[in-house]
Amino acid sequence: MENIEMRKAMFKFGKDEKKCSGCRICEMACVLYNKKECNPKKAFIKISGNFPEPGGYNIKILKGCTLCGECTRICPIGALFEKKNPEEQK
Amino acid sequence: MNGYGGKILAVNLTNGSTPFVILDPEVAKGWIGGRGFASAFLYYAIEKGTAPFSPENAVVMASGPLSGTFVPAAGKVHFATKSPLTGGYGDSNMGGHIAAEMKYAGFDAIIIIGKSKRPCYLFIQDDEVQIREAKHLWGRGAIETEKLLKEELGQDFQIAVIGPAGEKKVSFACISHDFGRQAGRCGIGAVLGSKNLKAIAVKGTKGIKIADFDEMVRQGKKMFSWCQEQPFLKIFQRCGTPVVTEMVNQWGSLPINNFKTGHSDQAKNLHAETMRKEVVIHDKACFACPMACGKYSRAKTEKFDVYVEGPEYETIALCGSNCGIFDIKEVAYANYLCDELGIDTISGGGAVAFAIECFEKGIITKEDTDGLELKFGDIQTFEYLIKKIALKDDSLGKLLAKGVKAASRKLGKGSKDFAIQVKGLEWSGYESRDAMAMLLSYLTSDNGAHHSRAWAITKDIELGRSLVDGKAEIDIYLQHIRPMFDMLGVCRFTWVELGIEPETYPQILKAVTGNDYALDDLLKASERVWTLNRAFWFREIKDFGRKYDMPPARFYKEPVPTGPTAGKMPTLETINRLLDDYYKLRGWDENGKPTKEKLIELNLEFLIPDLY
Repeated sequence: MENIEMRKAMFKFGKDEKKCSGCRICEMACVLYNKKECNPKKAFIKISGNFPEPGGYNIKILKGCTLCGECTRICPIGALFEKKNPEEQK
Repeated sequence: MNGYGGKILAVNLTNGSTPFVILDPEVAKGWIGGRGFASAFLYYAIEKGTAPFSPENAVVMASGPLSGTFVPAAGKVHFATKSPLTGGYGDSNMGGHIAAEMKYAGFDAIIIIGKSKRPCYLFIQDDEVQIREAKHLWGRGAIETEKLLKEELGQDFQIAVIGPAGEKKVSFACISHDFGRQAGRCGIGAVLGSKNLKAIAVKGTKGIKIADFDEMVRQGKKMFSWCQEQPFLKIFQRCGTPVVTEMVNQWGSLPINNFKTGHSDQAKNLHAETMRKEVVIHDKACFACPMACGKYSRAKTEKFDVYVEGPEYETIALCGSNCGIFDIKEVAYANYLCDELGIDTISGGGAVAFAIECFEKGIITKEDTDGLELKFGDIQTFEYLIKKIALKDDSLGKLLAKGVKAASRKLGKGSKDFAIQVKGLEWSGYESRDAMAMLLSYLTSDNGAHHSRAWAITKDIELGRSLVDGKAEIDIYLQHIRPMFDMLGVCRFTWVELGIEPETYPQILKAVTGNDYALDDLLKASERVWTLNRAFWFREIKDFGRKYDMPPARFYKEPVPTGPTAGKMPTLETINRLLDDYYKLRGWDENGKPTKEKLIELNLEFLIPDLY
């Protein structure tokens, strides 16, 4: 954890990297909402792949995350989600 | 310029120059982008009669106005060239993330001409464009090359590469990207190889200017939400394109053993659920795509252990059933071999199947194969042949590397009857002797025997398979609407698989670009591109015409022997009737050439001197 926002984000939002398909819609949703720009390079969330072996993706929440939740609402595959009960927050 | 990168990059590998021009708004309005740019720029960029492997041939790579924006599946990039496989218009598109990256760097299209003296790759980081040394990458596999370049440049770079087959100028070598996306068809990878260009690496940080930002966000959210609500989304996410394997086999349209027949009881071993269980590790999506139809797989047996994206349905059909291989792990391995070598799995599978049938008939013998018996259903045969083809290290490899049409002309002995192709492009995954719309789609596709321009087989099933009336009209409609998505830079599956309304696209296109289009305007632009591509064939091939639209004799001389379509086959008269209807509706003459009147109607009168 690099800063307080990231810790808060990890507390409020959940991620399941095994489900991530690498579409990067979350990056786009983030930057559209927070920067009013069509430029995923400026997003506060970053997806990176592990190819060719072993496959799969990493989801990293970056410094500056505003806890807006846009990424969880757009994720089409359930890799990012808002935690709803205390059990999930553990 | 709203919605566009705003620049066209022109790379001359002979003298190393990399100037760019500002995209003319009128060009953008007329040709839209993607496939429209690729076709139009290719037509202008090369002289009549240019040899495909000469430095003067061009490869055009183009994104669309929606690529990289907030639209579901906005990740398509289109390539075009004069094809070494067909000698005519060659194109192919792929997903992944490179179309968006080009836009973020400010480029809508890259036009590559010339030939580098040494192996090189194209480096683009926003406005910085360099032609860099690629000696350390030459000879390496496509997957390995992408991995090395990512390590060298950074994971943020999006990279398109060719494999050894492209370097060796195999006529159906592909372009690969994102560890599993391919612009596979027509041998565009071989043209890059002929130019000594191993890869294109792009990183863009500038973003895209949007005409009406809030409206794009509003409409984009609506589209993403709509996709989420479709019941078929979960199925397609789970299965990807192999969702159709079972259905196509039931229809009797799954190519088996070089299109001898269209159904096999063994096909259950290739079904999507089998694949999911046996090899798939996780889902893998292109840019901004909720469907995630890419399946990342690991195929592990005692003989091999490989990671590969796929297999897609087309790979299952051509490298699997069409080669008699009904083991999904073996198909995934065949997929891996093609991907690493840089070979189109459709043409590659077609060439292997053709060679095996030649062997069965004694046209190719053990003298040609190092003593190996070529057999359907044998992964060792597949591996032996695909490596021979990719490396062109003996006469058999060199022969097959030119594609089945050219190989059959050299081999003779009736082999052209079962060289399954149209215009020189190997036939993709639908046996069509009892599917007249699908058959006509293959005959008239503007790059050769490819399914994607008009996946009409569902209409055959719906309306009557042997029916001829009305099929030309269906194909023409599909040939306009499906390539429309290729012009916009978005994947058509949102429409094909989820059923999104096509009318949605002009609305969001207006929000992104500010340009006001009706759906009919986009379809008219699509017709212009289709007609331009037809003109390209006539310009480049002296005797081009109806005879180039004919299928191999297997399709009208050999009734389907087994399965649900047993006994079915069109007559030559029926095939000509389909073409007659098609040409008439298109405004082409009886030899399939666009009439002067049609060219004038489409504002393509500049083509008249080339055609008349």
